[in-house]
Amino acid sequence: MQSHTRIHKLALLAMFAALALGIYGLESFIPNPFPIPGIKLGLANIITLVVLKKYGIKDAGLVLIVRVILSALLFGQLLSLAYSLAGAVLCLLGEYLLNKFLNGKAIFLTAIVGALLHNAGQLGLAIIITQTPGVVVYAPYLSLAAILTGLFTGLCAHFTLKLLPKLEKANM
Amino acid sequence: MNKTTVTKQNQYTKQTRMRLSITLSAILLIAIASILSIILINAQLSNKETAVIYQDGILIQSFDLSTCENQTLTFVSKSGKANTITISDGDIFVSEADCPDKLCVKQGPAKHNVVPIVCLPNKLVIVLKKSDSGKEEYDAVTY
Repeated sequence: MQSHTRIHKLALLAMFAALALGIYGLESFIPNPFPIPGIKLGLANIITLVVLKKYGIKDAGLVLIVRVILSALLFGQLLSLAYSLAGAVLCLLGEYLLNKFLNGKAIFLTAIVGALLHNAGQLGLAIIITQTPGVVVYAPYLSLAAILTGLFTGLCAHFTLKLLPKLEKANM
Repeated sequence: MNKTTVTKQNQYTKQTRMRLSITLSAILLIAIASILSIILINAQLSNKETAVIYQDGILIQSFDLSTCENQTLTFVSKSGKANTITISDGDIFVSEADCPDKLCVKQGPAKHNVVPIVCLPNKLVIVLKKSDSGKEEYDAVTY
């Protein structure tokens, strides 16, 4: 979107943050049908990817931090903040690097890797905090789920990015 | 001579293509490795000799499943939530739980030595062990 002013851009980023928060909150109501903790759709990653591609890593990081902190305050406990942060930051960094590596092509691959990294970050932190290396048993299940959900998320982000310019034209 | 040819520039350079293949291969590798590990883990079904129960990271009780009698126990976590564990015919499982997601109940009877039944919100862990291994795999489980 054309950022005519800094205020304009700030408002847009705030909108994305609110959107991410809303998506994350709604998604938390979907029950987990699997006996594995931590399996979810990860739809908030769509926003992260869209902002990353449109505005760059700094703004994506800002939106991400706002979303993580607010969602931890609204929906979770203090401990879940650490886990969310670990997963989300690793995810963002990885997506940024891979996006550069792939020259912006094939966003769904970036999304898949992002989802995998998110799980890896949370699992890694869980191992460190609980000092139970046994938790790594969940890794293969989480990885498969991450690949599938990442694919879906990536496609959503891809089509969102495609449609955004049309929205801009319609609004301005 | 007017040759109107429309050539679409191929956006995917050789370099990009190679990088795409590398990434795709890496992902596929992870997928295959995950599937293999899941098969391996599930292939190791436990002989269900000993079951050990941890509450809040501390070993509470252990049972010799081959000899103990059928029973039902209730464990209450620090926050007052309860899990009811049933031992019946050499199987141990969570029959009722006060937790929001009830993942522990859904897991059914404990089957593997490696994968425990865990109720994360209530901090309850049920692990199967081989009786003949003298050393404890976990002395304590922390959260």
